Amino acid sequence: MLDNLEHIETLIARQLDGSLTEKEQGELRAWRQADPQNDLAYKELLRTWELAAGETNVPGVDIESQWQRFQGMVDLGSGGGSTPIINIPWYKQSWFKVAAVLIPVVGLALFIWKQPQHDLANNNITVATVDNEIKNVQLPDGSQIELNENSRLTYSTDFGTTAREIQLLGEAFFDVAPQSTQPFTVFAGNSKTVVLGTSFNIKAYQQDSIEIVVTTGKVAFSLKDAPEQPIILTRGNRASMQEITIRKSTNESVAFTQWRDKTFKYQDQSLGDVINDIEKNFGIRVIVEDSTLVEMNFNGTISTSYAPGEIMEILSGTTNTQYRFDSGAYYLSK
Amino acid sequence: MKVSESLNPRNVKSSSQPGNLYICNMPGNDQLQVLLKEDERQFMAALFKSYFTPACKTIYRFVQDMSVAEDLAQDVFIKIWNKRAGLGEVYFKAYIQRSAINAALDYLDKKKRRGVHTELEEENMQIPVLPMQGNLRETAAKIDAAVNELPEKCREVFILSRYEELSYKEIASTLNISVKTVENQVMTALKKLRVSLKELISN
Repeated sequence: MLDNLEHIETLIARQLDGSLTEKEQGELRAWRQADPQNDLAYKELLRTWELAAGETNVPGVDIESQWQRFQGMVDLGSGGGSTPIINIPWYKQSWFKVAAVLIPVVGLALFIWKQPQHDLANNNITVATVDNEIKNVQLPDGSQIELNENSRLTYSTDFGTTAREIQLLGEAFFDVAPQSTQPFTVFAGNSKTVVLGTSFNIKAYQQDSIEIVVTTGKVAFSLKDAPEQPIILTRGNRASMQEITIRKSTNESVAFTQWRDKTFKYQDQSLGDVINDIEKNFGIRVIVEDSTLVEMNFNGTISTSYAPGEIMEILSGTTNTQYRFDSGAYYLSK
Repeated sequence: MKVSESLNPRNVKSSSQPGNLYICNMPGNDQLQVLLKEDERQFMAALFKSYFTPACKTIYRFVQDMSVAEDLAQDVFIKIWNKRAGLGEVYFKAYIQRSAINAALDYLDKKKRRGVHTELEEENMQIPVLPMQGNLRETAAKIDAAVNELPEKCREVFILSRYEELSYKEIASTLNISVKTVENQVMTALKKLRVSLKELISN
């Protein structure tokens, strides 16, 4: 029993970190339902967690005097040591800036900001996205890349002339133009993916936790440092890299494209899988009262813009089932 | 828009609202990167004004002394200035947060080795428990006091998790401990806080 409590505490800790798996979620739920005391303890711990986040009494900072102090310690003007003295060009001097604001150059300036940024030092082009932003990028060779939010893509200005190489930080969907003479290589975190012409999704927000799903064609996926030991992935394959281990599996979910079109498309998917996806992505609970329903096939499209009730309408409508809502969960029955 | 087309051979379409990205007080990372190349002085000013205060707050949570926090934060920015030539691909916000955390942890380590840390802990123990009132400031003071009373490692883990919002994995590598230990420490902290903040939780 004591062991069990320790395990439950681990689950609660993981819940706060967002690293709880679906199975563990179920365990935690069952424990809370087993005894009202458990549920109370759980709620109090969560309340403690929330309470501790409240604005604490951190004294204010006088940023101006700190900046003065900083300027006294480093020589910004001459750059301290090896850096040459910076001459501020006329167009950067303050009188010119004031004038510039008055001229409607601002619109153009904003536009230039949106261009891929040429990194003069390395001859690199970088495309980056912020929160809730998705960009479509067409590469010189005709390949298309859809870059998910908070991601960054870097490639050389001579992309395609000697090699086709891309650096990715974050998540992107690649539709690679076929070119048998020149492979297309993606470096993402510790991974290296080599393809000839295909489409696939890479999720690499972390250096050592990377996921790839191949939609069409064939790719070679490996550790960046061990490209001689690739795993070959074909259509419908998924692989995940955790530190230095690569696990290959068959992709059974379509949720990986969710960020692209904000819809889930299901073709002959078991209702059980669909419900798992829905619970994970919509934050609702669906309890299937008749276990035979789990095996039923589901065809249809569910969009993230739908309300939970609408999703349940679609689920029950297309599978000829009934649903009801009771104390925080949807119940599905024949 | 002729100009734009010739400037834009790679056909980048953005689905975001035009403009709303850049009309904000905090310069984006890309803007800082451009500034770094074009005008180092302006880059440093922008970076300092955006991130000095957050860095100070991060350090303060650990060291509980504002003048120490300001000194350590100054060091963080001096190091950045000295290393500016090699900052080409850096994501500044995370980089500064990480530097601030390391500066604070280093400071606490050194202090402990010099034997001053025990004094700090005793000092923290003496923070008077304020009378119960609906006052937000007092609530915050109580929470601070309760967090500061946590055992040392436990407190570090809790601050990194709760205030710096690092994942358990990140905390594990920062403190050189296992994820399992991080999970245990978070729960130890929560259970202790649940007891010491009982009267705040129940209402």
